[in-house]
Amino acid sequence: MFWDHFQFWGEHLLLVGIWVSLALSLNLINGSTGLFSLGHQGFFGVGAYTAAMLVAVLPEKMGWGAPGIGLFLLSFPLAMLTAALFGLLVGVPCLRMRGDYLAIATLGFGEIFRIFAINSETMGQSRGLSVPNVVRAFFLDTLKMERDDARHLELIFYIALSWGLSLLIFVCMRNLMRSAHGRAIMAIREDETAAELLGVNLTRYKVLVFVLGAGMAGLSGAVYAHYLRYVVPEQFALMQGVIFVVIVVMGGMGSFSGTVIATIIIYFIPVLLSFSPDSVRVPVFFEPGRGLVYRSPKELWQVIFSLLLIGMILLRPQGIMGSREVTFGWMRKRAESAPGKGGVT
Amino acid sequence: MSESTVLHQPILRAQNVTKRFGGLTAVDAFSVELQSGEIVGLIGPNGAGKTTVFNLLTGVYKADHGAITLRGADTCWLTPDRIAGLGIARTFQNIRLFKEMTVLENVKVGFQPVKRQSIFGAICRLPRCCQEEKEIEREALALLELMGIADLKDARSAGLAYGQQRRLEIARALAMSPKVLLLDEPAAGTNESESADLQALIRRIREKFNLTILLIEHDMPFVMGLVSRLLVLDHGVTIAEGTPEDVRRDPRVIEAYLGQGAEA
Repeated sequence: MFWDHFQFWGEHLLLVGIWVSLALSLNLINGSTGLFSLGHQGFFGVGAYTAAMLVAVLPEKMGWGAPGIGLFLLSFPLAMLTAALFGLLVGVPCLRMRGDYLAIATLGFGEIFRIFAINSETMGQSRGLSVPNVVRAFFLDTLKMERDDARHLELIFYIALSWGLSLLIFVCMRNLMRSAHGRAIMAIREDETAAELLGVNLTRYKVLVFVLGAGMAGLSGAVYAHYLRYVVPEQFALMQGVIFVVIVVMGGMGSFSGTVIATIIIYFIPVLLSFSPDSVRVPVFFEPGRGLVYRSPKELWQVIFSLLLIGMILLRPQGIMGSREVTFGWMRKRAESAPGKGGVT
Repeated sequence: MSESTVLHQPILRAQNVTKRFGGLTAVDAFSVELQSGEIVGLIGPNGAGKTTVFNLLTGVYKADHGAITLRGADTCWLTPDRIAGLGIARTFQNIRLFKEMTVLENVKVGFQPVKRQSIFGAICRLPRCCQEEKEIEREALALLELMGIADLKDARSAGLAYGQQRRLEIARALAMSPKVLLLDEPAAGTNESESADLQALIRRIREKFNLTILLIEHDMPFVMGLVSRLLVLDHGVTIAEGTPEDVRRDPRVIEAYLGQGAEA
């Protein structure tokens, strides 16, 4: 019984971990630096496909037999490096553009990647690639585990991996933003001209941020591909990228803790909606002649998503956290001000 | 002045610098030589091209003609951040602070040209990087202390009073350890006693940091009491140059400020 629940919630926990890591790396680009990128799903995809091809395609082509754990481990740094390389290739020409132009150029990259994958024989076209379960095989064959134990341990391993990656990215980003380099990055977001006149090399920092963000997205992609054990081009469609941009805006541009909170909210809305019993129907709109039209809450995810976004922009345009972070000092200050002012920030 | 040019290499030299925007010549054959340690004023009516001169000297605009040398280096092909790295810092006429950051953070941004930490060191918080961060913090606080706004260090910079924002801009510029400081209307919006304080402050930082200062100002008593010589711009053309006394008596300057026939 426990393991059934664990299988269900554990998988959500794992996927939200991957989402958090991806949202954090996008927050570095879109939030902290203020570069409007719509191509992050592309870098995520580059990482996922690199990892998938390394364990699914390469051993087959080379006649190595089943991929071992070594190849699995190698796929992470390789996915990161490949995505970072694409970040560099896209970043160097595109980062001369600003605002909407940069958004369109990066969107172009994301779509080109997806369409390339649909048409590439090696990348499995629109069927995608299925990825062998290297971790399970390792637990079963090398460690001689029981079948159920291996299944549970595999899930625990991936939960630890996805959240470990998120934690690593969180700590690295926080350290970076608290350094002189981080201040240069924030200065670019606030006022490019003033930053440049203070000695900030705009191109260098923008490319750096783009490459770092892309590399981390590639790492998230590798975890994603290995866990789901398949990659298809539609996983990296534009809408996926837009959701992450919304997460970053909701969390507060440049606030890493806000990003984590927003990711968890956005991820779990459809999950919680899926629990609504079939008997529950809510009126959605009025159609002349038919009267009120009822729908199951399960279908309302995109409506709620949009309402949340509209409400957010109207009521709290700076995002959940603004550009602040949840720190112990901040929580203490809030707790102290709460009784008198009712927690007004 | 010409004698000292022979003896010392000027720290900043602009020769026949011209900048056109379409059909408008914003700055026409502007030349200046700043000797180390002097304070020079740049005055002229509104729209005379004074801020354009600052933008040319700092590399925001590229000159159409002429050459600018900063500490012996030709800045013609350099980007503003490289020119800043050579030791030129400025403040802005319409204040450009990083509004969302605190006062202290604004000053800390100024340490860009002098920072030595690597990206890797910053991400991993290597001891050397932490050490440097501590030094930056200490020096930033000292600069705020000097500017008299240390008690506001945790305030959002946008919330500061006008005069305090101007002082914060100077603190941020000084954080770059510049050799040349360009001040764009530092006394704008200050009353008489404040401007006297500011005058003393500018003299003090010149001594303390061994600076060469070029300043734009409309407040005549403020400039006259501070500078050793003045340049007067009108419609992009340098119409007069010399000591404050000379400039004050120059008929062309009187004409530019008060209109033709004013002396009659």
